[in-house]
Amino acid sequence: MFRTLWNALMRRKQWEQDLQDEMREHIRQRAEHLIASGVPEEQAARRARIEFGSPESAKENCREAHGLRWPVELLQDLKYGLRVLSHSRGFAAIAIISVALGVGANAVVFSAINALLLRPFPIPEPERIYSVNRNNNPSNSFPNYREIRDRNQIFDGLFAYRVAPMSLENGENAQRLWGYLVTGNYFETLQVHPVLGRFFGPAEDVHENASPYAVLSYDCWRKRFGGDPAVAGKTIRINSGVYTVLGVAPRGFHGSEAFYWPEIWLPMMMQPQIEGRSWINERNEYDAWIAGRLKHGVTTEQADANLRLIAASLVRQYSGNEGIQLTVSRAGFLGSMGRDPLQAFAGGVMLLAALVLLAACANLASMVSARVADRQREFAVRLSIGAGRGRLLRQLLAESALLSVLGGAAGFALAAGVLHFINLWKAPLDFPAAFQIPVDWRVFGFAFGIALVTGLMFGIIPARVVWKTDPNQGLRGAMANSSSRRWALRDLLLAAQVSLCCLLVTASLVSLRGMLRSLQMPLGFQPQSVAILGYDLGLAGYDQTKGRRFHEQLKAAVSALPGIESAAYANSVPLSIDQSSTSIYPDNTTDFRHKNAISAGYYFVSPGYFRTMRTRLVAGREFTYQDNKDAPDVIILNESGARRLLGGSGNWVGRHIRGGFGAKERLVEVVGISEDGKYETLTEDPKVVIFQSMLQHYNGTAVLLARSSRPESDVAGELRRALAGLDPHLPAYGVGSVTQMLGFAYLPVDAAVIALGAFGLLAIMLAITGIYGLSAYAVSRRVREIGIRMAIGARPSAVLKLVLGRTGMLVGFGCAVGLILGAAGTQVLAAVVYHATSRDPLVIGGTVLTMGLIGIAAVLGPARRALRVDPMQALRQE
Amino acid sequence: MDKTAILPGTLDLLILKAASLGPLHGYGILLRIEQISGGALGIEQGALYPALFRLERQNLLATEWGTSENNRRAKYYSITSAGKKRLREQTSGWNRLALAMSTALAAEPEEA
Repeated sequence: MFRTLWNALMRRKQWEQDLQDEMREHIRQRAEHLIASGVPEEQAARRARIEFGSPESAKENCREAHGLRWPVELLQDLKYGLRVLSHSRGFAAIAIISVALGVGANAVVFSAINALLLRPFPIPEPERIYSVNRNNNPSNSFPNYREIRDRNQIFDGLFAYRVAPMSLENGENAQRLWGYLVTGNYFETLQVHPVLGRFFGPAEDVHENASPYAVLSYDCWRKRFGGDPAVAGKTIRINSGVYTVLGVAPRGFHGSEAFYWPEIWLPMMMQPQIEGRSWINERNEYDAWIAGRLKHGVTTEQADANLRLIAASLVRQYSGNEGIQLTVSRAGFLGSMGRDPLQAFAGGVMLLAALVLLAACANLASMVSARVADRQREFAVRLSIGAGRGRLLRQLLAESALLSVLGGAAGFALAAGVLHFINLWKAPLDFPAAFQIPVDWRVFGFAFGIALVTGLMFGIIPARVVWKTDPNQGLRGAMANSSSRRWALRDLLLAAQVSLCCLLVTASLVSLRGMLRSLQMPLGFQPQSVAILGYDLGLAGYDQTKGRRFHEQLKAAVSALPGIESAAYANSVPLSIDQSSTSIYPDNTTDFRHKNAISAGYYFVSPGYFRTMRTRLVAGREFTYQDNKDAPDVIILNESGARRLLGGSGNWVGRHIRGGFGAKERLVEVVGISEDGKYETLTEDPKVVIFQSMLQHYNGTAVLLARSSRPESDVAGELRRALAGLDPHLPAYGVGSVTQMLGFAYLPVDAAVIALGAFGLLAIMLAITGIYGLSAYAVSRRVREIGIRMAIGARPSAVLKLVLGRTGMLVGFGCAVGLILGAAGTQVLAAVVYHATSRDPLVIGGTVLTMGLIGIAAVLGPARRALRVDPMQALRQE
Repeated sequence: MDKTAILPGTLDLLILKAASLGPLHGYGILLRIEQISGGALGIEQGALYPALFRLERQNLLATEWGTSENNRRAKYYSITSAGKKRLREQTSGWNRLALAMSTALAAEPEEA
């Protein structure tokens, strides 16, 4: 590439020299000819030159006739462009910053989308990996999995997988790690190959608890085993079982879910050993996720048709499958659950980023066209000495391209920097979720591409001016005076830019309001001042009796700590990742089919839970130690549940409901009603939730909660010590405060606020530079006029009105359009922010105020300059 | 010398004709056109070279650097076979046009 360029340059130089020689020779011969025909020697040379005409013009025509030599001409244009830009550094700096902001914002958004949605998994033909959804949920029962695997005609391989936490014991302490239980055909279906050792296959996943093998992830191998090259064949202890490490998965391989990075893979048949309770043969437990590799050429329609047949036969053959619908969806985001909302979110954010870029373009275009108006004289001069209009246009485009490439490079660097920080950020989760956003060639290509498009977009603007330039008039200085035209293109561009900015400010304010609202939303508990610690007795091989005793011992030990107001334990807490649900029925139900069931989230809680979490009881009582396994089963319903199952009478306590945990006809007494809250997400509609006494429903996995007036981090450390004091081998996880844990629930809201806030800020910066640039230009062009007016006694207010009135009008007009656009764009915003509405008076007021401040900040400088014009100096200037 | 400005589009044809009589440098072509037209056709000197470059680019003329009669470096233009073909075509085309024009212009009002 560079060689060609160099050769072309050298050839070009020779070519130019030849052209020069040829013409000189021509003129010389002509002169000799003239002398021979009697013209005096001193006149001959002059006449020969005059007869020949302008050699530069002829040369230019020759170059054109010879054809475009793009590398050379481009270099020439760029060189000239650099020279021009170095003469107006302020303009160049503002332009480059504008492009950098626009390109940077877009590159960041694009890389996130690239990383989440576009980048395929590091496996062969990832586009053929599909999830099988049961009623839009990726989970299914394991017996159903076996049926689908054996009956389908559409998958080359169909595997089941299950996210499973486990504890890795080495020597004295135990570490909690997240892994996968996967069927034996998992690795061969995904077509990955180990970097070390081997993977397990279908033959090693046949009998329950008979295949204690493990495969490590690359990161786990490096981090926890120090990259031991002899790790294959070694044994490790997981959940009190002995496993043989078979091999290590390749770097970057993390299965088929985009957000989950497991550390270890175990055969599915080890499920009973790992989870303590087997669901391998349970038809009514939906704990296995299913995905597979579609056969070549099978369309999703064909796949869905085949699955419909299988679903129909599953319904006929087995109870519990009523209403089952099976569909395929691209794997990666929890079956079909995650992709659509994520795509909608990504689309919304991308649109906003595009608006920022558009605002940057409008900004540049208005500055460039203002500049071009000033350069008409230069164009006229160049046209009159023989430059073609085409060449002049190319020259201007080269200048824009130069600006946009420099700006694009700065934007790319900016994006890389921002992404570096995003990658350093760790989600506040006890979960190997990774948000790695690599800056790869696609991002680079994207940034480069949009930078060039930007350059072209604002480079086209001056074309009109060049085309209309009349060299004669231009040289005489009789250029069209901008103040004589009513609206110049740059005015429209400014208005467009202001309205885009206004739109983005509206969007950020809407998202801020959304965040405030979600912060004020009643959660159904008070997360402040509660420390939390998770542990799993099932992993450590405790049986029920020992487990019950342990829960109580820990609670007692923690309650005895200084400054603890109350303590409790539960299987899980609302808004954490671990949420479960079961089917319940009103007490008069006789038909227990699927369609009559009410899905209810459930929590097993110890006495003191409601006091510790400060969940208000609307009626009835909390659980006590009398609600134990020897007493009749009792339940606390939330208000929504009470209304749904017991009717709206309000007389709820003492009545009964049925079902729960597979026992459909079980009748339980309602002893209390709790306030409603948020359970899975902050944005959910009211849900039915039941609480049961953990004394009556044992659960090995538990979180310990302690409310205290002391700092949660101190208390959390004491919780950890209390746990270690009871059993040093038991791993603790998710230790911290409940507020920290809520970070997970607030993640989408936070992400939206950060994104929209950043775009709003960018838009504001662009609007300020845009308005400033244009009003400063307006003032500088009319210094003389201002001087005259002041000399004959114009008042400052009149001067201001004269020079800045237009800008003010444009800004006002732009704001109005922006507000209307914002109101119209509520749907788009709703995809990004919960309950977004831009018709909120506070948002509208805030937007108007912000835009007003922006306008004032931007015109402050130029206005001062206009008022400080010294009439005498201004008049003397020309 | 009273010269007629040449018609647009005919310069190429004249250059090809001049070059077909033997390799020439730029000024030589100018002279030869004047000479073969009996001094009746004048060419603007600056316009000659762009035309030469255009014809060279179309491969109708070949160029070679050589030495001029007064021992200076000069670029010589000679006609290529494609150039000869083009010359033949355009010559016959021009002849037809000239004939048609002169016939048309020679027409007398018909007597009633």
